[in-house]
Amino acid sequence: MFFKLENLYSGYGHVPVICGIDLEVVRGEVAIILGRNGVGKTTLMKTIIGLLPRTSGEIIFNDLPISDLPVYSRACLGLAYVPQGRGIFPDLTVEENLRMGEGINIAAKTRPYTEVFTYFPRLKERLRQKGGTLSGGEQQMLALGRALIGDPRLLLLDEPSEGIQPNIVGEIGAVLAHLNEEKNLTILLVEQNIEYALSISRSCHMMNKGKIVARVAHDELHNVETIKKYLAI
Amino acid sequence: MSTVFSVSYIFADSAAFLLLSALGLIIILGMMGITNMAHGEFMMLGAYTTAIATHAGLPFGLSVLSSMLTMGAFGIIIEMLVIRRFYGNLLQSLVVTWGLSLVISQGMLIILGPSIPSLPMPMGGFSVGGKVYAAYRVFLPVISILVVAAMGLLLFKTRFGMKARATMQNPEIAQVMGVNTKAMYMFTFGLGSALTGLAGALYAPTTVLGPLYGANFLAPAFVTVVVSGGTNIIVGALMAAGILGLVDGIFNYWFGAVIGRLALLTATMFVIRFFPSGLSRWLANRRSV
Ligand SMILES: Nc1ncnc2c1ncn2[C@@H]1O[C@H](COP(=O)(O)OP(=O)(O)OP(=O)(O)O)[C@@H](O)[C@H]1O
Ligand SMILES: [Mg+2]
Repeated sequence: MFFKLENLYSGYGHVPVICGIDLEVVRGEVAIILGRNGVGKTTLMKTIIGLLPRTSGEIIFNDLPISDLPVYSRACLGLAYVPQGRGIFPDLTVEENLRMGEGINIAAKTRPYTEVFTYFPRLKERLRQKGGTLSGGEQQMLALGRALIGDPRLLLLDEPSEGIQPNIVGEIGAVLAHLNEEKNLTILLVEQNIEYALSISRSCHMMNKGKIVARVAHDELHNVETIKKYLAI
Repeated sequence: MSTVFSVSYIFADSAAFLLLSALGLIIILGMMGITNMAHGEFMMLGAYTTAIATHAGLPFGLSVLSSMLTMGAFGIIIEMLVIRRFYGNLLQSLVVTWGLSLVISQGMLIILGPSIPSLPMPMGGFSVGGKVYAAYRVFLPVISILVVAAMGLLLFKTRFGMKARATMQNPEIAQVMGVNTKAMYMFTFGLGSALTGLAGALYAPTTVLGPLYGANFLAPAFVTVVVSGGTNIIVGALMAAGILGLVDGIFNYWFGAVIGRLALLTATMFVIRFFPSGLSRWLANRRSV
């Protein structure tokens, strides 16, 4: 079993947000969860990486139940999380931010700096610059680059398209598609931007009110009515 | 010539005093947001350890080192038993470390009484322009520079330092990058305690040793922390100790120790009024403009 969520519940205090999610991600897949604002996408991602404790249910990663492990152990096992809002260390330089990624997946044999600089040459030009002084798009590149330095087994992305100009969104999408096809990188991505989701995956899971309500194939996704139905727009 | 030397001597002595007495406090506050009200008592324990070790026959230098290690270990234990329950809660952590300070000083009073045998000043003296100076008072500024340089290297040139700074800026994301922030806090508190113990040990020969030994250092230490601000621990501490030491040095030489201390506090109020978030933040903002 590569990655699986089993009847997962979590939330904040007494307020449940994730209400029984079952989901399996197979190795080499790009799994996308689509849902509009406030359905619990970020809450789900935080529960997977461990920043939020699960209320009940289980998270399986590489045949291992990980929901009792602390965040840093999950990272060491190879889960890389790119948070919504990017989570750049503002007073560390770009280079230091990237080097922080080396803490992910301690079993990795390589730290792919050359690849990351090929994908995002702008980062290489700004190595000495403080992370906090980068533009939003550059910060997103840095956040993704930092996760990639970890050579992760599973990449968790929370709305990488948010608040970024379209050409950079496209650039990042192309990198993700390339990584998945060429390097067989497994990705779990949560989004509310349908076009963006369509550009990198064949199918999507629809999320509403803390539940996965449907799995929709690529051709159906073009049908606006279907999407509206599942996302309850 | 001798005036220049005299003023420089007082300046260096004062700046070193401010720097050493504040460093542990600054690291613990900067890294963990904990204001350690037991800072003075940690210094007292450092001084006591050195005095006891020296009287037991250990050379002074080794005694100082041993009290640094002892206080580092002590800090780690205190972190595990007490401090880690109060991260992120400013008021509770203030009260709990204040309680700790009472327990330590009163405990020492009960165990070892109101004073313990003091230490002779090591290294003797020398004279410039007919005035005699203590060599140890020149040695302390040198040590303080070395300690700060070592801290700078640790924080800015090592992988550990990078992780420590990342943890300070965003502990959640540091964990996401595989940093065991719990262990990081524990170790950093130990480091801060070790530096506090070192300062206490180094100043042990300069005064009488009693359970309230640390009180001498508390005001100067807090003043330095407030003036330094939190952006860059090392630069902030250096700037604060430098400026305050200069004020103290000048006023102390011409008007005496009391006026020197008053000038120090006035300078601090001036800094708080005009640079409310401290000198290092002011410098950082200027740089990024
Ligand atoms: N720290 C918190 N404490 C309490 N409730 C929270 C907290 N964070 C989020 N919530 C609530 O949980 C629900 C889900 O939030 P979440 O951030 O997971 O949504 P999202 O799907 O990521 O939305 P978006 O697309 O806007 O990022 C929302 O109703 C939100 O108000
Ligand atoms: Mg979100």
